[in-house]
Amino acid sequence: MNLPLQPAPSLVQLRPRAGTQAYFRWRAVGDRVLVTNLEGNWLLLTAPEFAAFLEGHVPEDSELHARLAAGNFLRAHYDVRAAAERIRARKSFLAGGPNLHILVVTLRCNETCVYCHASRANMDQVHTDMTRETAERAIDLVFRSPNPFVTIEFQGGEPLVNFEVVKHAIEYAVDQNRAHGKRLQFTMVSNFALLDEAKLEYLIQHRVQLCTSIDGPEKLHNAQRKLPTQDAHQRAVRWIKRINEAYTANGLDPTLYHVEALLTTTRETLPLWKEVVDTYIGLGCKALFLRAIDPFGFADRTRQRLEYPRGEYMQFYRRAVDYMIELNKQGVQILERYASIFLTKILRGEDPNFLDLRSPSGAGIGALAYNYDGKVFTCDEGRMLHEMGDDTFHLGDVRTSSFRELVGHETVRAMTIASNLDGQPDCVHCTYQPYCGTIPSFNHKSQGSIFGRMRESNVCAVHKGIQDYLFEKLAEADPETLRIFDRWTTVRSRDHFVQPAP
Amino acid sequence: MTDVHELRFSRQLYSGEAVDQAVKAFARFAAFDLEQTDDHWVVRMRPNDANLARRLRGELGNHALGLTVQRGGAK
Repeated sequence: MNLPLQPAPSLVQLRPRAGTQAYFRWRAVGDRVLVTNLEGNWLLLTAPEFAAFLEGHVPEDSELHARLAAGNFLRAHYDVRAAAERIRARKSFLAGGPNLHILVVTLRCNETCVYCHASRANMDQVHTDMTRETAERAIDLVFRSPNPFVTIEFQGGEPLVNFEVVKHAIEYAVDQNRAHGKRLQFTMVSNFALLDEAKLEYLIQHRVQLCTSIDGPEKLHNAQRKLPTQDAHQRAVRWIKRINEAYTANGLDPTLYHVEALLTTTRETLPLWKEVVDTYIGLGCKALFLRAIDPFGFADRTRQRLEYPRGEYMQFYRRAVDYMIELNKQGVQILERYASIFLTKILRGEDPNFLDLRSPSGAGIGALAYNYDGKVFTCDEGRMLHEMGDDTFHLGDVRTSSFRELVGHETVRAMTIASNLDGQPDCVHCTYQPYCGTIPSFNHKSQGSIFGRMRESNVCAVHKGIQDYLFEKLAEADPETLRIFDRWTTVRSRDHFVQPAP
Repeated sequence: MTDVHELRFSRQLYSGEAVDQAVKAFARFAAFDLEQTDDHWVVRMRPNDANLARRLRGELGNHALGLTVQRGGAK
């Protein structure tokens, strides 16, 4: 039996009757009401359906009753075992230990970016290069992680400036892994301006996944990422094409193996949403991460010029993703990374383990950052804050600290508690709690507390805005959009980037 | 004689009163020495029983954190 059609009651007229519902949270999304439960199941209800649910008047033989029972929203039918399994699946990353290990091999950089998050040093500051010995001690710690999957990410500064130490670190790690047998991967974040054929051959031969920054069309990119020659965009584009050609020449599927690029959204980016998407598609990218700007590094000093209200960012986001969905309908394959992360949690009940968007966050328990001088931090943002004079997230030193001391450090404990959304004021009652995450170092920098105040948090505003957008699309239930969303949550393993078994 | 274990509580993240109170709560299980630096509350702990050191370290840290949260943070 279906509920008879009736006008939607105003929420203030509802008389909730506790006792029939299991624990739930709710939020108006368009003309629907989204309800989620403890384990992250969700339903979009019409207003009359929500009223019936809230007032405990759902007939047992109704279609709505069946949907509520299947989603574990009814107390009388609550399946504790199923809920536990769902939560266990969502939190599977907790059993792993740190899998992302960031090696900042130098602070030197040949580019001067207006928003630089990395707090770069000039090219003559050679004392900011990591030594071989420091790299070895960092890698010794990497292999102390109990996680069977380990990724070593080379960052800077510009890592190609200290390429000899990158090479040494790769070869030392591969050698050490003979004793550990982990699924080892390398990634490098570079502007490519110092790449040459010999370096490229080495990186491809050693299966290093390459990632760069593209801020959109040439004019914007060159204005924000400054080389003395004013051609940062041209150089990056040239190497993206060359690297993708090299992957194809090695017999790799170009839809799976290609250079990944990262966007930093500044005020100048906001009107260029279409040009940004077109630039990425033109470069053969299959993913675009519409990241808002961070308050770290130079971005802190240039904030007045680069920052923007988060409402304007959300307009930019909606326009860009609407456009990407339309392009997907025409056969172009491009996904938005934020959407992909949230949709994987919403539609598949799994967590893709993106460290800034999980509860608790990955600081110290999912990632560690090793500075050029051997200092170890909870995360790359903690390392950047150190460069800005704030040592809150400094855990120890590669030469003197044990792995257990680092991951069990009092600072890591505090960050884990602070980013556990089950205990975070506001988050605990938020409908999007099962899919969300907070960043303690960002909260500390922007609000003076690792717990943060979510009602005033830019990150919270962006996360809520994106999930509002996605649930609006799910409520519209356009079959083509739903198929595209399903594809955005399909992870195809890039096994070529895993080092061969020892 | 057991080893000395050092715990470093960031003053940005932990309340000094909470750390003091946690140390008092665990005084039966170890000898403690407290020091302040510009950035940290430093606790040096010599457990009565070396086999309890790891557990004691973890429990003391958790207790100090819980008391800090109860007080509404570090400040």
